[in-house]
Amino acid sequence: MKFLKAIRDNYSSYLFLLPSLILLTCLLFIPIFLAIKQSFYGFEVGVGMTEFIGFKNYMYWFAGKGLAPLLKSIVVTVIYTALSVGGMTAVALIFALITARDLPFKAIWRGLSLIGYAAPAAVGGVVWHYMLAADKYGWVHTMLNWTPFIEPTTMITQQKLIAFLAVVLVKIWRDYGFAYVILLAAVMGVPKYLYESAKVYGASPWQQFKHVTLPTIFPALTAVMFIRTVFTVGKLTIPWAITKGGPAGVTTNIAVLLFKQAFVSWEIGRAAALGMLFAALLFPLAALWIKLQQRRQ
Amino acid sequence: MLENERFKRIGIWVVLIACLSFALIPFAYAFVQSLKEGFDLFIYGDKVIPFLQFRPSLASYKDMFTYFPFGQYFLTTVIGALGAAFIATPCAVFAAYSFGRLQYPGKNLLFLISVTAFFIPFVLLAIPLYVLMSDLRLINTYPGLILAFTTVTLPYNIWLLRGFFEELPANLEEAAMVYGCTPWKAFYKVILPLCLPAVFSVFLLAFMLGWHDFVLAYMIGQDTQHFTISVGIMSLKSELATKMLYVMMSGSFLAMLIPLIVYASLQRFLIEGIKVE
Repeated sequence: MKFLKAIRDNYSSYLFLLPSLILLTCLLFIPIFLAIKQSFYGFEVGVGMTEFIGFKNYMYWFAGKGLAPLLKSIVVTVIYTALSVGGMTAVALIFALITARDLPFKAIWRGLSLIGYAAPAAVGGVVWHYMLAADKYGWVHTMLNWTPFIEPTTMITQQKLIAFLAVVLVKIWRDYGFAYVILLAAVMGVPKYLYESAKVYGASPWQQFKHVTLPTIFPALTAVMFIRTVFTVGKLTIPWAITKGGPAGVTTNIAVLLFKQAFVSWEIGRAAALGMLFAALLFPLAALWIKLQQRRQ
Repeated sequence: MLENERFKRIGIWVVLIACLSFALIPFAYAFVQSLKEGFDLFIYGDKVIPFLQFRPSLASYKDMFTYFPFGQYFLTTVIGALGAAFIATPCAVFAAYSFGRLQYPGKNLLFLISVTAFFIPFVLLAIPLYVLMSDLRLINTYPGLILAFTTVTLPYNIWLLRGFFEELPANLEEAAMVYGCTPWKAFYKVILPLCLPAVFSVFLLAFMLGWHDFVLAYMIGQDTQHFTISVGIMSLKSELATKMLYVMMSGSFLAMLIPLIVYASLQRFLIEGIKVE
């Protein structure tokens, strides 16, 4: 009764929501329900859902052939996420410290610092792939050939360690912009008088950074790293563009595994089951993020 | 002391240039390589300066549209992204107004539900959407592509616009109603005109979300005719004979340049857009 009264008293407020809620119900809530159902059913391309098979799709991941790749992809996801989030925060911090200064044409440098964000991840990934792929026309490959670190092979992205590091590097290039925007604001928000008094005590630039800048921007730094973690865990486009998850699965994170299962092998039932597992793993992160968002308001 | 200052200043510029080179190199690479026609890309692959080190040509920009389906890719991307922006933005304006300026029970919960899709990785959304779209026979269609993009652009736009509505002065509607406006009239005569620049920017950000997407577009588009630019470039990468690399470079360059132009026109709103993502 209370529920009905709330609707009657505020019907115009709810009316504003109606178009969005109808769309989201059709495009999100019903499909999620369908996917839960799908994880207990077989699937055939062109036919759709077939017969009920119980927990078979889940057993494939827990006790069948899927267990080894799943465990491996979890390890890859953790290392990949940690390295790229750490890396993009560090890169963003360097950019922010430099461009926060009162340089001539500073607006231009700040704008150019964000340029990676303009590239679609897939396209940026493919361009980097060619830069890394071969000698002569792949500039990065050519430069690496001047160093003693690599064997001049035709495809350096087929060597495990280099492939993994390449994917991390490109991920950093594409996504540090978010961290940069937040950290630039944080660095510029550090009160000037703190630096002045540090200088009076004879602090070197490094000491100023360590004892003044870093403690002041620390909350922003941790917030950025957390948000980037939430949004890096589920992304697959850059590993897919550069290595397709190879060589030997070293760049197959959970998202790539899921994508391959669904849209390369077309095992939609198994993919749906893996999706449910992935969602369960992500849930604590998402819940924490929602909590933080609410606290910020 | 003065000497020291000078070293410091030079050091800062060196670091700045190093940073910006890292940020810009893929753009420069795609552009310079796109100026090398056909096999020139292999002969002059490591040459950087046009006119001095190699003879530049714009042939790739013609060939990509005449011999390769890049025109179709761009068209599909624009149809999908524009369609989604056109559906999502008006719906989001209403919803965001309600979330940003009205008080009623259940608001926070409804808001969280409305923006859920934004915490879910796209690949997790793609599987349920695929099941739905294949039931409705919408795979390989433009409406399917538009609806798939709408699933993510709608929550994104609601989130962004709510922020703008919240920032407006508190008593605007009340003032309008004192002058005899109905709540609905106060919305579209007072609030909406004030928000139009923001609404337009959010429309463009929604368009960019579609432009940048790979996973959802890959799920819907399974023949060349329904490939977006991201999906198209990815598929050409695995199929194309290497001597055709020069059109990949011009295609990639255009796919990265167009968002750059859109973003440059957004300025302040761009920062808001990035903060949400």
